[in-house]
Amino acid sequence: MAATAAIAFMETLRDRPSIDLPAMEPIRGGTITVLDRARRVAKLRAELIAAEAPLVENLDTLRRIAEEIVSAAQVGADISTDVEAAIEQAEDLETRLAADLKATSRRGDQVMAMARRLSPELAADYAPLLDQWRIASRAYLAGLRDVRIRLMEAEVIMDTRAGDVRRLDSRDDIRRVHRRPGVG
Amino acid sequence: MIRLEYARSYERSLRRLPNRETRRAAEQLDRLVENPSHPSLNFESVTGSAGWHTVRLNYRLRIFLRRMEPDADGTEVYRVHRVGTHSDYDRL
Repeated sequence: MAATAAIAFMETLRDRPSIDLPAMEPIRGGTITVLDRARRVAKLRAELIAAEAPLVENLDTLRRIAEEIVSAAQVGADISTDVEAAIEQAEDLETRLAADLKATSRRGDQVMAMARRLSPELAADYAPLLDQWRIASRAYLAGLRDVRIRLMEAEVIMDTRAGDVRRLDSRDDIRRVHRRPGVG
Repeated sequence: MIRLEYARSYERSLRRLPNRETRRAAEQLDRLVENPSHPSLNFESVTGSAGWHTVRLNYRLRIFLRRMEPDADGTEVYRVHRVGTHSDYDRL
C-alpha cells in the first residue's frame, strides 16, 4: 500500500539532519590564512553537495509514492485513513524541516557577519555558497509541500467519488459546519 | 461571486483544532464569501500547485481550498478541503 509506504518513509526522514552548513564553523579571532580560507570553502562546498544529494533522492521517492496514491484514489481504492495519516506526516516533516532550516539560516548569517569582520575575502567566498544553500533548502521544502498537495489531491478525488461533499450556501451553513456539541 | 463546498476531510481536520481556531475558521470563510480581497484572508494560490489556494487562519495555520469547476452561471466554486500548517520558508 503506497500510503503506508509513504508514512514509513517519512518517519525515517524525520530525525535525519536537513541540509546543514557543516563547514561554517565559528571563526574565533586571529587571521584567516589563505590556506585556511581555501580549506573552509572547499569543505563547505563538498559537504553541501553531499548533503543535497540524498534529499533530492528522498524527494523523488516521496513524489513517486504520492503519484501511486493518486492513482490508487483514481481507481477507487479505499485508502482514506492512510492518506490522511500520510498528509499529517508530510505536514509534520515540512514543519520540522522549516524550523531546522531557519535555525541553520540564522547560524549562517552569524558566521557570515563574523567572516565579514575578520576576512572579507572569506565572506565573499561563503556568500554564493550560502545563497545556493538557501535556494536548495527552499526547493526541498517546496518539494515537500508539493507532495502534501498531491496527497490532498488524492483526498479530493476520493471525496468526489464518494459524493462526500456538501454545499455551504449561507452563513448559517458555515456556522453549522464549525459548531461542535456544547459549543455555541 | 464565490460559492463554497466542503468535504469530510475538512470536518476531520477541524476536529483537531481548539474551539477558538474553529470559530476563527468560520469567520474567515464568511469573509471569503463576502469579500475575497479582505486583507486578513491573504487569499492566495499555492505556488506550483494549480487549482490550490489558501486562506490565512492565523500565523501558523491556513485553510486549503481546491478550485473546482465553476457553476453554470459562472460562480467560482471552491472546495474547503483541510486546515493545515503553512511554513513560510520563502524567508529562510
